[in-house]
Amino acid sequence: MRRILLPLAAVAALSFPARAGWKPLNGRPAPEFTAKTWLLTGKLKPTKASLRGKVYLVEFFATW
Amino acid sequence: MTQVGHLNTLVEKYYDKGFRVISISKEPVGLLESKMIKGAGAKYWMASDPGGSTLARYSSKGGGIPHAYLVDATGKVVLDTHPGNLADSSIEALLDQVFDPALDRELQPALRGAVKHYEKDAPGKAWAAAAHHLESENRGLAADAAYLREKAEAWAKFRRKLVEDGIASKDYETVFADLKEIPKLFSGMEVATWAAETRKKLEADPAVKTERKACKALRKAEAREEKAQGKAKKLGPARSAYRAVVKRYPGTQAAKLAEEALRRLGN
Repeated sequence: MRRILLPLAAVAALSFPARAGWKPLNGRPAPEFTAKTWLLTGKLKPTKASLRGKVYLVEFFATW
Repeated sequence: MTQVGHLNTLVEKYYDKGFRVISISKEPVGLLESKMIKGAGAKYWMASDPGGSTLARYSSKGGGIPHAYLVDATGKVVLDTHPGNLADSSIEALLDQVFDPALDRELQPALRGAVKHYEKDAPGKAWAAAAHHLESENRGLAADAAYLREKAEAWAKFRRKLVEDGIASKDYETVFADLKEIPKLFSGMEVATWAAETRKKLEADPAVKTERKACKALRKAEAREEKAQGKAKKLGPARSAYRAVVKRYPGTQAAKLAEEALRRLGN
């Protein structure tokens, strides 16, 4: 358990305050992500379940 | 779009260790292709979500873009930040907990089929296929077969540990998803039997049944909150649903999260 908690503490120490308008989800299961079209994933349609055991970043952006 | 280069670098550096970037926009797919992929040279996974359903699950209203959530191997959010601020050390700390599936050497051609299964996320099939070569007179081949099976077994051990952690933290939604998947991924291996037995045992446990019902009710409440899109006047049904979770399922994890949501929404 100590092995898991230490890296998490390191990450928490590097974290930034939650930004307005975004849900404070730290420590909670990540919500599912769905999309109409996926790009650069090949035939894969990623889901939370398919990324189990992996570390991932969910980024929201706009091109403007 | 300044974060494209930074995210490209992170994916290139950590992809083989199990790191992924999922970049989501409400804009049409054509625009993402022309501006992000062809224009800015993005190399990570990207999605067009014009309905904004994923955005609604993460954002309340008016959140500044870009914004990102870092998720650990157990599926929990550990950090939210501007993607440009994401440091290598944050990812490395989490990757230390992850099983690294990469094979550290090229295996003998006779194992090509087994390696293909392994690389296509079918470690159970790889484990079974490699068994045929364990007694090979070709010592190198036998050693490679044993190595591949050890990797598959280490992978299985890692997934079992995730389930055990999930049970300890009563995250049954994830636990049951895992227990359903493990027998398929690791068919023929001991962990597949363990997963099937554990699933049966948990399904028969009344306390687990209550937690799962509570979790289902919580998800409905969350869906109502998403539907309200942060509009105060429309949050009434979500509040009622959260209150119902607290009242009907006291002491559960879902009730705790519902209480938190009510505090956040201002009761």
